Amino acid sequence: MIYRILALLLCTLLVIPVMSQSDDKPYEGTSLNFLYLATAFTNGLKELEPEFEELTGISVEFELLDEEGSVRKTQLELASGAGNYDVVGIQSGNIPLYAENGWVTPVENFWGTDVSDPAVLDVDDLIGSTMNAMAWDGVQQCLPFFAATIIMYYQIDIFEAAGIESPPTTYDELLEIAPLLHTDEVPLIALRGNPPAAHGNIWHFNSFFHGEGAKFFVDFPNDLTPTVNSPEAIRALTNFVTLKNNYGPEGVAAYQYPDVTRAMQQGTVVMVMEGAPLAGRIMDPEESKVSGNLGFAVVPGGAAGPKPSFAAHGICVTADSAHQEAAYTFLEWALSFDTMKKISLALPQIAVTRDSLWEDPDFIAKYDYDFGAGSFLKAFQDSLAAAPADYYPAFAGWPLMGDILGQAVQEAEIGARTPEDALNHANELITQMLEDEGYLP
Amino acid sequence: MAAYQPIPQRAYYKYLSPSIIVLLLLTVLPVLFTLYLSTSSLSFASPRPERFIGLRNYSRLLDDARFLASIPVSALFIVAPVALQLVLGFIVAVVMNERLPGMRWLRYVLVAPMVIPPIVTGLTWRVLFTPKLGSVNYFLSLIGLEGPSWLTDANWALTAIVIVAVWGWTPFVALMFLAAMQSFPDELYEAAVIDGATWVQSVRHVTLPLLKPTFTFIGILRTMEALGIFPIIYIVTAGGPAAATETVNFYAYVSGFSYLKVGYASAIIVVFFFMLLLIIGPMTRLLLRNFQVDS
Repeated sequence: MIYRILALLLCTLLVIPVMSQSDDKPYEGTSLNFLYLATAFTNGLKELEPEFEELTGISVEFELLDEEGSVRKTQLELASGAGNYDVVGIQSGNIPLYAENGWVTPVENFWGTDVSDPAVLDVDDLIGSTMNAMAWDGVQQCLPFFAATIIMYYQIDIFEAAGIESPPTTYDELLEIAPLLHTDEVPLIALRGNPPAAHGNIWHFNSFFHGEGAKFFVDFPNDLTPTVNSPEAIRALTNFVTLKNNYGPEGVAAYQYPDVTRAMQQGTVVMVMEGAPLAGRIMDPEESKVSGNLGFAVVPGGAAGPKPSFAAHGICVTADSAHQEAAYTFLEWALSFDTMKKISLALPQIAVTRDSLWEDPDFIAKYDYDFGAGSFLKAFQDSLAAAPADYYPAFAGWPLMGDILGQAVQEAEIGARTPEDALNHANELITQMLEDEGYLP
Repeated sequence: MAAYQPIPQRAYYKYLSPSIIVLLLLTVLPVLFTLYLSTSSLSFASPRPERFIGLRNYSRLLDDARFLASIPVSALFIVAPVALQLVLGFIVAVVMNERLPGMRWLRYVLVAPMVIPPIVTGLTWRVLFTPKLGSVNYFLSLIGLEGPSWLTDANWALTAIVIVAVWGWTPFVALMFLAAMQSFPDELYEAAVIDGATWVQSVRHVTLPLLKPTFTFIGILRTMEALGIFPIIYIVTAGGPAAATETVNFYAYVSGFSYLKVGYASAIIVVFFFMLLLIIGPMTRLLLRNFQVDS
């Protein structure tokens, strides 16, 4: 008899959660794990999580790390197939890697099913270039929440004092005016130097590389014979190294993006070419010494014109998640107009990926900085328009190739090799790597 | 009262078997799996499926300049910090043993570097070494020296790592020496004084010979720990500039987790494992011999 009572009790306990799930909260009680970089947007999601939980009954645990840590941990977790995380963030350069290894469930798989609500996601409102950056082989893998590019920030009064009326539009111009602006106390420019990797110094160097019209390969994706030592590439690296070594602060080769941001924020350099999304931090009213004195412009270009950096960050449902539908529900909510707007107004999240939000009066009122030398939002939008879609070549070997190139850039910076030697050496190593990995015969 | 019955030999194995099984699962199996991976082409950055490639990963290591360069860096990060820690630790311990005023407080201060997590240590030193921002070059300028570019010059970056390692572990070495010294009988020092020995002669002819086993023990302990140096490099220099501060295990990490070349990284780790055996094997024998002598 006692066994029957226990069995009945057990059945009742099993049924209770099912009964408690209402039709509008089909995944109530589900707990998701989220892993990515700590950004204004992901921090905002964490703050708004109680709203999501109230709406859907799904709770989300956030694990937000630094850039290097988040990339490494995400890749390790996904490669292991442990299924510990249901939602992960991604940078657009890694989309081929994640897609080819089957680490993420394409978001397209959910479209047209009961779990999807097209009105909430409103795909057509998401900026096309960022959506393309999150697609692979014609399939939408993840959804973009962050449209990153770089702009030039400069101190207006120092330019005026040197008699320079407008920011340089070419590297030649920049190198010409550099001696007029540079002093030992306030060096001209800070650019990222560390880590020597695809997500480090290459984020900046590629802008110089594309700007000179250099190409990574003979004919991507048909012929992957590398050409990173072309005359255009050597010119790009020479300019990059000249600017940093002659007109940068001491130790700039070790600068990471927080160092560059801090240098501009504290006014210890005249200018930086840094992420437009970092404007909020650079002009933080409590910490900034340059707010009110900054001009904004598209970065200079070389023979091929200005080519600002471009990357999108997105979020994906992991292939090994046991809660696929609940995870997609979270993605839709996170990318919805309402959530994105709330976060962008509450936190310094400028790099939004919705066209409608760029035109939203509240958004414009908050972010359209203009201190007499041009609009920040215009510089941002012009840069996004000028940024090459193939800023990082879309193939799974790019992170490795970018790291080899990053090492070469750093070697040239510290004088271990000349720019030409460094790129020749890098071209050899990349050729070897492409052969080893099966991209070249 | 029942007579004493010796436990049969088989029973020892029975009692030990759970521990042995756990040990096998946690140590031997991963090593075997790493050995297997080192003979595979597994790379998440490659479009080719994983396949058995025999010893090709190992033969590639012989031509990999970055791997070959990481070997002397590993050796440097073992020899230099451990030697400096032993010398400085000994000096600090001798001074602290003199029961001078304030020594008790110095002990508390010395414990601090040991309890600070390596990540915090690394971040702090990274800032300290940054020109203009950090204070290392500022203090050097006070004594008329121009501070170098610590993190962007290959030689100075190596020096920076050694400094951080010495700073972090010298207090531990000093406290170990101090503990040993305080167990030495006072009579030996009194006899030395009666024989007319100076303070320096007492240290040289009494303290040092008595400390010899402790030197060996701490030297071995610190060497073993120094072999695994990782978080300091990761935070302070990230292996840079231009891979100048990359050790063998750091390069394995980069190959595996940055380049996603799992097979190749496994081969590096296997080679590193045998390097460790070459160093740790004789040391362990020495350590055991010391214990036998002591017992």
